[in-house]
Formats: sequence, structure tokens, C-alpha cells
Amino acid sequence: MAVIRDMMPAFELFRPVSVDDALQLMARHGEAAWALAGGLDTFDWLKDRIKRPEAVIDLGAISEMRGITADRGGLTIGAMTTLTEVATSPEVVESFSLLSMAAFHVATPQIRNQGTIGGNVAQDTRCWYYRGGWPCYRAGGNICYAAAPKAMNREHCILGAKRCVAVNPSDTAPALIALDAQMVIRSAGGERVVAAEDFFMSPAVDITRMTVLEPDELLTEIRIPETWSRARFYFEKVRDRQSWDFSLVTVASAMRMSGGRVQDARIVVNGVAPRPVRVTEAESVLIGSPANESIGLAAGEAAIRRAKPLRHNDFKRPLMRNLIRRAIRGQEA
Amino acid sequence: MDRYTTATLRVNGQDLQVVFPTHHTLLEVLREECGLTGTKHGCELGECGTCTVLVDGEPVLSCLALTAEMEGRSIETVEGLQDGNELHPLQAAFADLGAAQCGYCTPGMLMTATALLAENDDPSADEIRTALAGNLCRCTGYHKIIEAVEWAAGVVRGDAGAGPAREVLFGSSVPGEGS
Amino acid sequence: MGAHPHVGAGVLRNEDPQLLTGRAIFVDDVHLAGTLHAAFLRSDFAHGRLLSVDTSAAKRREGVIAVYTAEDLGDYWCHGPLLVPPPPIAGLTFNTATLVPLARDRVVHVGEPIAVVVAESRYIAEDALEDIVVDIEPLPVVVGLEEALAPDSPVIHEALGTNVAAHVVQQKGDYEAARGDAHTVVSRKFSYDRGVAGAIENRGILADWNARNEELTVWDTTQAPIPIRNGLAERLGLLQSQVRVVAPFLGGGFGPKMMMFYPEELLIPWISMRLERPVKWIEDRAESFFATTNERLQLHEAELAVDSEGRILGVKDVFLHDSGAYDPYGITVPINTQCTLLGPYRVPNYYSEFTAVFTNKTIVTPVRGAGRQHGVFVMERLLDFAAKELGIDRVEIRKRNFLTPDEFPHDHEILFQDSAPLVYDSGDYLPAMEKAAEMIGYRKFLDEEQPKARAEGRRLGLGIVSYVEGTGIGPYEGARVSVEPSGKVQLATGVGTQGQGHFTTFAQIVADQLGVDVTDVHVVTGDTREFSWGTGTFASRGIVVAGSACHEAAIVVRKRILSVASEALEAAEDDLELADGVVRVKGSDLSISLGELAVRANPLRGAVAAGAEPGLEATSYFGPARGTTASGVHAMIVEIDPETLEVSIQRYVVVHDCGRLVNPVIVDGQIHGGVAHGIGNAFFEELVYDDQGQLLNASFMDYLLPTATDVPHMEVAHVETPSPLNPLGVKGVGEAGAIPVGALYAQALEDALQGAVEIREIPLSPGRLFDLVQDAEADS
Repeated sequence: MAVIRDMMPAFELFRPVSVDDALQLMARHGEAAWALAGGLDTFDWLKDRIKRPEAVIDLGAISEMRGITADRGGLTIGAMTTLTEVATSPEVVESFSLLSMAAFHVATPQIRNQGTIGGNVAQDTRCWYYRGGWPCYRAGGNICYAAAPKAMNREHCILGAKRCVAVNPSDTAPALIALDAQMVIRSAGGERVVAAEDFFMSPAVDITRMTVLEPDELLTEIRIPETWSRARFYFEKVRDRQSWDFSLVTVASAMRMSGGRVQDARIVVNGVAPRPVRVTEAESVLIGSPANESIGLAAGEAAIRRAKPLRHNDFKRPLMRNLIRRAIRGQEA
Repeated sequence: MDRYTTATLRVNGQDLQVVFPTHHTLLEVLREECGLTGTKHGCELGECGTCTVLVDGEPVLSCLALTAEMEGRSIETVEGLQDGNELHPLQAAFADLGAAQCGYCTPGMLMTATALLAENDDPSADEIRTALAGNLCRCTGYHKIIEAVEWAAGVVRGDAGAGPAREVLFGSSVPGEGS
Repeated sequence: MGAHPHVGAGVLRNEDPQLLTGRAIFVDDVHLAGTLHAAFLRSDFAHGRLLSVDTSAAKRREGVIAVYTAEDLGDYWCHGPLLVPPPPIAGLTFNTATLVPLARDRVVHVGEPIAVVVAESRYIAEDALEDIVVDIEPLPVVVGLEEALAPDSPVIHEALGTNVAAHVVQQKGDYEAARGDAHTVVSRKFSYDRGVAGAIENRGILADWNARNEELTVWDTTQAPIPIRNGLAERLGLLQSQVRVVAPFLGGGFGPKMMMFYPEELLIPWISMRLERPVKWIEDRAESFFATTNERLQLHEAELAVDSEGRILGVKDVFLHDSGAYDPYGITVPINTQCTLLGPYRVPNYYSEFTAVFTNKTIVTPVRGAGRQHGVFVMERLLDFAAKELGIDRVEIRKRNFLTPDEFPHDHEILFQDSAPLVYDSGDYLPAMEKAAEMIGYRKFLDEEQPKARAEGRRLGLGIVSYVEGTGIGPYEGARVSVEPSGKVQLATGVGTQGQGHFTTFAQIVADQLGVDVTDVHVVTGDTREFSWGTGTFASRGIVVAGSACHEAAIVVRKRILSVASEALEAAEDDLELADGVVRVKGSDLSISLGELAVRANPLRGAVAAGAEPGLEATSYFGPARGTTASGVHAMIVEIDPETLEVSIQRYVVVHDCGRLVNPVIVDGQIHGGVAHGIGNAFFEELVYDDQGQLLNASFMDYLLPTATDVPHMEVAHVETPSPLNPLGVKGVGEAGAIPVGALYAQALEDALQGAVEIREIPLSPGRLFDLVQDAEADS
């Protein structure tokens, strides 16, 4: 565990100006490389001296990874676009305000100025045992401290735990899944595109990673299709502190109405599982029904049916249920 | 072994030639190489906002920014806020309303508020709160800071009636400022 | 001079021009050529036997100058002082366990220092920490308070044979008899937790031993520079005059910077002397969570006996207090709890018993409020429950029990933290309560606003509570006032300053006596070279004790000015007036400036009368027999979201009485900051320890301080009941705002939840509220 956390040990810094150069550097340095986006998560790890990369590849000078462009009714967002840019972009605000709201709920103005959307979705979990440097499953060890009988785990999972009970902390991730975004991933070997829903790693597959990114891969851009443009959106993040705090439970949803009934919907929650969760149980209750209070309650109840709270986080069940109710009711967005 | 970088930093309108270990943050270089200790450190992890400076006009946590990324960008710190002996309206308002207590979070607060007023010279109290949410203060409860930013905004806008007269507030002569 | 143009006015702060421009010097801003940097290796374990420490690899690292362990300290290794011996209470048990500079055989909390590396840079020093190999055999850990007292609990300090740090009973009257007479007795268990001071500046020390003139200068983020100077001189075998301790601008204190001695404070000067180089250590934020003292949990079992009208017959309270791993600060915190519980009320019978308990956690010492919160919470909650049971309005039950002005001075017949009897000097509580009720719109809220909101499905609740704060205790402080030939005034005092505005308020006091501008009074504070006697800034005492000393010294200087001026102007002293930096013969143009008088009072030639002192200078000391009692009423309206249980504060009202206000702008600022600290405490500030004594949330990301969006606009009003215990009539205010917020929040939440839950604990995050609501639903 880290008691002193201020100064980083030395590393070699690279500032490539193109994605190709960055990928070459990553391939060359392999496991010793670390891709640096906005630095918020990175420097936390480096100052804690828990992660010790030899080569830091700073993506900040790659202009092709930055910016928002309209694309056939949808948007393409460079992974290095800052959260402030995402939150305030007229294109995002007009057509995909869900993402704008999500980006605006991240941390603080300074962090939104420095932090990138790519970094926000790829950030590591905030589990305090893992962050504290305990040798847990996620850190390559053979125990989950947060799931131990006497563990302090109010911020942890109620769904989808598999050995690790840490939660995904990203605010933009559930919005991107609700918008059915596509994540463009490149490596020296080529490009692949993964649905946002499949971008986040389950601990059942690989317990040490938060996303499907391989060590030699970069998330270069995020494509948002026209599908949910100007749909009925809802975003709410509940946290202990009213600003500058990670979420206890977050809900992001997109709905299309037709004739007073829900034609289609995607409801995503975060802060409750190792990865953002699309709540299909709630969606199936909802689709074809009116978006009213009783359907909301039924959908909320359906969503938490499988929840298994830990010692200190039972509150996340009613909280998640209620947020889903609200998303359906559509109040407060 | 440390590797060093040589760079020209534009700080408060002046070009400074600095040599620094490549992995050092802007906060470290401002305080250690540039001798600009007005920018404070409070957590080194982006949690307190005390180290906030402006980079190209935007508030940035200097503890989480690599100096190596700063070449060609404009950096502003608290030392550059005043104009000669004339305090910046925010500095003056902080003094007038007693918005600084220990003064340790104050440089970061002032820089964040400077960026806010550049963008919005008539912010509501809620907008000010949101803009300052990343700057922790343990002394003031933010109350007078928010009032001071509102007041300074009035001065920046040129509102003649911004804020009460000093005599009303203080009942005493006002000392010279920025001496 | 009868009028006080400066005292009472919100004059601008003298210190602001420096603080607002980045020019103010804080400890880490002092750069000395050739400075070495220190970093501490700290224990990862909460409890363990320290088997070995191998520093050889660290010593070999390039740039490392020295590495020290307990063994290397030789005779310098010893237990630190007991700073505050307990008051002489009959039957008291106190087991002393003071801390050590570096752990030798045992580690007793995470973060306890084991070794210190000194290197050419902080970077190298931290790198070298990783070279040190420590072998610790873990021992069973003591975390919970009740568990610590169980017969089978591991014992932290073997020599003591127990985890009891202190056991204290104080009583007044006969509680059991009162209980027998009671119409109603309410008894409950309470738990009240607190957290860190959270000064934005962490601690730091720079020590510079100058071997050529054999002087040690130490810049230290301390609230008590003079005791640090005295202690260092003694420990290092130096004269006090060889040691200068400077507490320059400090980035907040709030209590823990008062703790002396921290291991780092003892070691950095010692290292500087050995290496004959300046040595600096700056704590980082994570480190501060382990290495800087904080405040934590108390568990209370309390009952209140009342008659049918709700009049208090007696209170009984038995509680456990977490001392942490050592108890160098004595029992200050729990005794504050014990004394502050009585509040502004008439309590004829009181039985209070506490046990302070050692645990394998960071040491507990006062943090803004210093245990007063806990006591206020218990008393205010008991009154709320009694009011409910008896069907009496909560404002009314308080009014019925307030001490009235004719009851002062009021002797509670127990001892306070300063060993003096707990006697309230003055107070008038009813007007404050009425004013607060009026400001918050108490009746209108209950009769109209709340029912209307409830009809709309909104949950609004109101809280209103009272409290007192014992402030301004002794022993004494001093001040030296001197008029310089420039006509400006130098004012030196010994207390350190951490943002309270001493540069201004002390100057106001002196300016009024000497007829000069506040800006012409240059205040020096926190530098032992400038002033050699005093204790420090703590217990809301600066303005009371040091401020009164400034006042006394200024009066003496004023007399000297008049005497010298009378001679110079050939006029009777009674015909002279001081204003605008000159002495003037009333009703004439004849005048002489203070500067000229200062020159006259310090002649280069000529005869001086026998017994006369040169200069226009005086030093005075002020030592109150006991503390002043400030008081207040806070009221708040909250709204709770029924679906997320998020709470927002709609309105916040403070009516406060700290006697005469020296500078209302500064006083309001102190209250605002205190309230914010209290809000953090009530809502979400909590040190989360696991069962192994590991602190899990040691960062400002996980340990949450209130931000600008969490603290509401505050409406503050004052009642001024001057203290008879000092010439200014002032009372302390530094901690006041923080004290009642937990009790207030609990009452407001209960009100908003329409009595669905009973709140007996703090803090209360949304998650914890869900638990309480769910439990209540399950019960019903």
C-alpha cells in the first residue's frame, strides 16, 4: 500500500504526432509502455508508484485523435477530445445531449479541461483496496479484499461480480452504451471496431483489465451512430458529494416513443458492476408499454432482481431501482 | 536516471528558458525551476485544485500536467494577475470581502475564477459554485469567495453600482492595495 | 480615547496584499541553497513487531546522504512529552503512552515512521525509500472501541497491560435521585464520528543549523512556535536563544498543527545539526492521513431525565472515546465532550463517565471543535427525543431549559480541559434562539411551507439547535508594542497564525489605542526571535488571550506617548489627544507626530531620568483565570430527495454570540468555515478503517471535503454578550461554526422524513440513510 504519493519516479517520455508513430512506440516498448491521455488516472498510478512504466507515450500531440466531426447524422469523436469539448460541443448538445450531460458530470472543471473521453472510458476502477496497492486479483494476486467478510465495500458491486467486486467508475461509458457507440481500436496490426457495450471487460474474462484494449492497442475514436439522435434521454448520477465525486449509481438512458408507448429503449447503469451494465430486464418490461410510474417501478424491480449486495452496499439496490424509475418517468434530466 | 528537457515556457507573458527533468509536472517546474511559488501544492493528485494555473486561458491542474507538453502554450499564474500595482478586480474583491483566510487555496481559486469571468462576466451564484467545485477551501466555507467573484464580475462588466460602497462595508479607511 | 473606530469595523486585512498576489511565504516556499530533502519510511502495518530494518541499499543510492533508524538516534531516541496532563479530577485513571521519533521494536499504527532518508532531492529520497527492507511480524490489530476493552483483546502498549488510556468520572448533584423524580427518561445509544482537519497545506519543516554562529532556524507549520522552540532547545542541548522557530504563513491549522512534538519536528532539526546542511521535509496528502493527527469516533450511552414540563432534572452519559495509538494530548478531546454536552442549559444533576481507548490507528488530538461536537450531538438529540415524547415543541423545550442572564457566572461544578472549573462567564441564550427562529421562519415553515411541500411530494425538514463553546483559555499570551521613528507601530506576539486574520484584528486593537491607521500597525507573529513567550493558537483563544495582551501593551505605550508628548508640547496629558498618527493639544494646531516622539524617547545624548525606559515600547501579558463561553443557535432547512435520499440544504441560519466583535467580516468568515467543516462531518467526511487498521480512503478523492457546491449561502447574525473576563469583552469564535452541525442535520433529516427514522449517528451519507430507512421500514 502506498503511504507516500507525490513524486513520480523517472520515465522516458515520447510525444508522437501521429497514431501510427504512437502504435509503433507501443509495439516497441510492449509491457513497459504506458499510453498517456489526459493524465488524471495515469499520474495517480505513477505518483503512487504502484504502476511503473519505463516509457510513457503521451498522446497529447496527436491532432488526428482530437475533435468532433459530424458523420451521416452521427458523430465521430477523437479519443483525445477533452471532456469539456464533449460537454460543450454544439453537435453533441443538439443531438446527443445524453453524452454532454454525462461528460459534464465528470469530476471538476479542471479535470474536464484536461481529461479526455478516451481516458474517461478506459480509466481504471476506484476500488480502494486495489488503488491502495493491495495485491488483489485485479492486481495479479489471489484474493479480493473488498469481498472479504469484514470488508468495507459500500462503493462496490451489486451485479456481475466475478471474484473482483470493483465497479467501473466512468460517467461517459453508460451514455456511450446507451447511444450504441462504436469504439475504434487500432494497433500496428490494423483496426477493429467494437460496440461500446462490448468494450468493457468482465472480470470473468480478464480480471486485470477494465476494457478489451490489448497492451499494444489504442482507442482512437468513438463513433456515435444516428440511431438515437435527439431521442428522449435521461442521465442521473448519485454520489455522496454533490460535485467532484465518483458515482454510487449512475443511470443513462435513451428512449424512442411512438403513440404514447416506448418503441425502443436502452437503459444503462454504472457504479454497480465491474463494467457498465445494460439493463435488458428493464428494457424488456418497458418496450411496447407507456413510460409511466407503474411500468417504471416494474422495470426498476426487474433490474435489481439479480442484485447481490455486499455487506455495506445494500443501498445500491433501491437506489438503482429508483433511478431506473426516474429514467422511465423522464423527470429531472 | 533522469532525462532532462530544455524548453521555453511562456509564463505570465514572459519567455522563460528552463531545463527540467522530463517527467516533472508543471507544478514542480513552476515552483522549483521558475521560482514561482505562488502556485501551491495540496495533494499532487488532482484532488484539491490548489495548484490550478491557466494554460491557454483554461484552468488546469498543474500537478497533473507534464511540463514537456507546455512549450508554445501560454501559462498564467497568480503572480501575473495584477497589473503593476493595480490588483486584478478579483484580487481586489477577495480583499474587500475577506474571501481569503489562510490564503493557501487562494491562488488556485483566483485563477479558476479568472477563467470563469473571461468566459462569463455575469455568472450566477450557482454557476460560480460549479466553476469552483474543483478548488477545495477549508477556511471560508466558500461563502465570501462566491460573493467576491460576483462582485468582481460586476467590476469587470463595468457596473458602476457593483457591490456596496467600501465605507458602508468597513466603516474605516481603506488601505492602499498592491503595495 | 473612548471611541474605537477600528475595533468593531470590518477593516481590510493587512495580510491580504501578500496572500492575494502569491508573494506570501509558506514553509515550502522557503528555499535555502544546499537544502537536503527528507522522506519517511512508514509502517504498512497497524500493529506489528519490528524485527529488522535494512537501509544498506538505500545508503548506496547516488544522492542519498544519510538514512536513520531508531537505532541510529542513540540517546536522542526517547518518548515524547505529555503535552497536556489531565486535570486533577478525583479518581481519574490516566495511562500515558507518548509517541516516539522512530519506531524501535513495535509499530502501533499504519504510517508510524520507521526510518528517514535524507538525500539531495525529495525525488531521490523517495526513490531510496523503496530500497529499504523492513521486516515486520504482524500482530493482532485493535480497531473497534468495544473490542479493545474485551478481556481477550490484544494489548497495544504491553507495559500498560490494558487498552484503557483514561477513565474519568465527573458529576454534579445526584443523577440517580433526579432520575427517580423524573416524569420521563429518554435513553439512547449514539455514535458520532469525525475526521481530518483537512488543512489544504500539509505539514512541513525546514531546519537550518548554522554551524558557524551555532544557531538553529526552523521553519515549521506549527500553531505553537514558542513551545516548539523551547522543546527543541531542551532536546538538542541548545540555549533557547540559539533556536529560532518561525511559523510563517500557514495554509490552515484547525488543531493538528498544534500537536507537539510530531516525530518529524524532532528529527529534521537534529538531522540538520548532524549534517550541517538545511534539511526540508514536506508532508504529502496521503501521508497526512496517516501521520497527522485527526479526530474520530465516540460511542455514547446517554439518558436525560425531565419533568412533565420538559425541564431537565439530570443527564447521564457514559461513553467510549478513540484515542488512537498514543495519547500525548491527554484527555482534552473527551473532556471537551463531557463539558460541552451541558450546553446552554440548566442541568442540576449530571453524571458523565468516559473511557478513552487505545486503538491501532493514528493519534487523536483536537480538530476544530475538539470533541465538542460529540457532546452537543448527544444533548441536542436527547432534548429532541424528550420533546417528542412529551409533545413539546423543540424550540420551546430549549427555551425552558436555557440559563438566564441572572444565573451568570454559572458554575457547572466540574473541571474543564484547562483544569479550571467549568464556569460560564456570561451569556444570553433566549434572544439568540428567538432571533434564529425568526430568521429561519420557524412557525411559518412548520405551519405552511412544510405541509405545502409535503402535499407536493417534497420532503422538507427544519433543524434548530443550540450550543456553547468554551473558548479563550489560558495560560497566557503576551504582546510587545513599539512605536518606531517612522511613526509606524510594530506589534509582536507569540501565537502562530493560520488564516484567522491576526495581522488585522491585533492591529485594530492597537490602532485604536494609539490613534494610527490599522495599516500602520505591522504585526509580527509566529517568530520566536520577535517574541519569546507564549503558547500558541488553539482552543479559539487568539483574540481573547493574545488580543487582550495587545490591548494591555498598547495602553501602556499610549501612556508613554502621552507622557513624552506632554513634555514636548508643554501641555498637560489630559489636554492631549491621539489621532491620525500625531498627538495634538486639543483645540489647537499644536501637535507632534508619533515618529518624532519615538526619536525623543530614545535620545542619543543627554541625561535620562533614573528608572526611565527608552523608547515608546511596552510588553504586556494577559492570562485569564478561565475561559470565556461563546454560544450560538444554528437553524437549517433541508430537502431530501425521497428516491435517492440526497440531501440539499435550502437555508442555513447562524445566530452567534462571541461577545464583542473585533472585525465582523473576519468573524463571519470564521463561522462560515466552521459550518462548512461541520457539513462535511455531518454528510460524508469519514475515515474508513478496515478490520486490519488500514485506512482505506486516504486521499481527497475518497475522503470528501465539502466543495463550493455543497456549502449553502449562510445567513449570519450576532448577539453580543461581552465577556467580563477580558478588557475587550471578546470571546473566541474559531471553532464555533463546526460544532452543532451534526445535531442540526440529524434533527432536520428526521423532520424531513416525518419521523420515519430516528437518527443517532453521524456522518450520514445517502447510502447510510438508505440503510436507516430500510431498517425502519422493516421494523414497521
